[in-house]
Amino acid sequence: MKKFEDEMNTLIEDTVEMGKLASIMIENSVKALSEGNTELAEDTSKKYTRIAQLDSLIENDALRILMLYQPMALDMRVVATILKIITYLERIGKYSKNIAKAAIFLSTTPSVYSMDGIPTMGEAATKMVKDVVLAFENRDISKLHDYSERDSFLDRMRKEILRENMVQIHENPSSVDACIYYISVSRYIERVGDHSCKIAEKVTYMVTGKHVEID
Amino acid sequence: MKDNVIEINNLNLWYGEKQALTDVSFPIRKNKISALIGPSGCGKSTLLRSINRMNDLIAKCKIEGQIMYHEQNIYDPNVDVNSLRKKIGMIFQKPNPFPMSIRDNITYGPKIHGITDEKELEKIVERSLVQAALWDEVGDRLNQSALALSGGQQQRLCIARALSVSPEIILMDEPTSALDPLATSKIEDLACELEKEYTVVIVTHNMQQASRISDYTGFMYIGKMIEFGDTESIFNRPTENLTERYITGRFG
Repeated sequence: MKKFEDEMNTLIEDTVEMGKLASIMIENSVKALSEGNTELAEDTSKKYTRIAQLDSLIENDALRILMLYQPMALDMRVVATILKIITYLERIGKYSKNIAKAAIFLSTTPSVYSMDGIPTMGEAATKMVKDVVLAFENRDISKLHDYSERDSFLDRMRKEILRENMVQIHENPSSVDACIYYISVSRYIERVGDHSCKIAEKVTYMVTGKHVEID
Repeated sequence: MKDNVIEINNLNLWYGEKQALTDVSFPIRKNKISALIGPSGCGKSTLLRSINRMNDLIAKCKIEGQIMYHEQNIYDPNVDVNSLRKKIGMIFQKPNPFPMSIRDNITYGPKIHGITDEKELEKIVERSLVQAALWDEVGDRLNQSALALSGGQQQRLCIARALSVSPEIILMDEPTSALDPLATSKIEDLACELEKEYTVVIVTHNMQQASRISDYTGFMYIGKMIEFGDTESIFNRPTENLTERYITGRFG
């Protein structure tokens, strides 16, 4: 039993580490973009290596636990949840890395329009990732009730940014490269929100044993 | 309820001064497999044996409460225990074939219940062995001693023997604990097959076995039925903390 509990604790700790890393990556990538801070962007981009490493390490450990111990009830739900959420966390890491790369490109491009929407979106998405990782860590889903609204907010913001950039491209065709980056970044952040919702569903299942759908 | 073949209501059982079952109530659903799990000494085998009055054989055993079967309490004084056990058969932990031929093991029960026609008996032998998934292995050597069979085959023979008197319910008390994984798997497949025509109640120490084959699971602890429900709920999200602790291995 002790061996099993030690392995479960390591699995959970690794998943929390991965979750916190994903939170930091999304937060810092958007920060790097809005501040034009290439050093922070480079640093954030590099963190993806660890996320990818944790993804495969945790997957192997979780499968090993299923094979060796056949966990039941809450233990089973924890392992099943972890197996699902590491995929979402890896994606969040990847999107953050893409945002960091966009930040590096955009730092050399003169700003063509006010990009207030991006930091607002980034902040909202970061909060979603942070809250859901905390919910997983503390097995407390009280902050997950409004994920559907938070997700809708990001969707609306993305559409808004798309529209602004389309106008910009028409009015100032030389800004097309930068605008495409802004559009992509808004799309990445919106996807981070989607993945946070999927994690929230899985964490709710882990805690309550009931499947929920956040749309 | 019509889906219940048996309803156990407030069953209390004492061995002398010691209370072995306390206020146990739960239904046994028709044509389903119900599993009873719990630590050693929790009363699950005692409970199983109460269902066909095997505890009558134990001195100083006192029972209160009801086990309703076909709208009659099986503990009513006018119940014929022999015909009750014909309808509710039992399989034990260790295979216990009679020291006689395979055929005679099967015909023993029907003969006691008055069947003498040879052709009829032959039909019963074949049907019982087919249902117990043993016919293909022993159909051509029915006169051989049952004791020459492997442990897994002996256990299936005991199941065939129980089936020979056309029971309605089959009680299994840790039927695979003396068998290897392959023989265990055959008995488990058999139990799932039997469920179509019979009702099965199985006591097992192997929780994976309970989760693999049963439709309903009851968790017992110190003579009490702590939780009874459909197997998926019990193993995914039990409502009682004791059940959670037992099935996740965090007991005591």
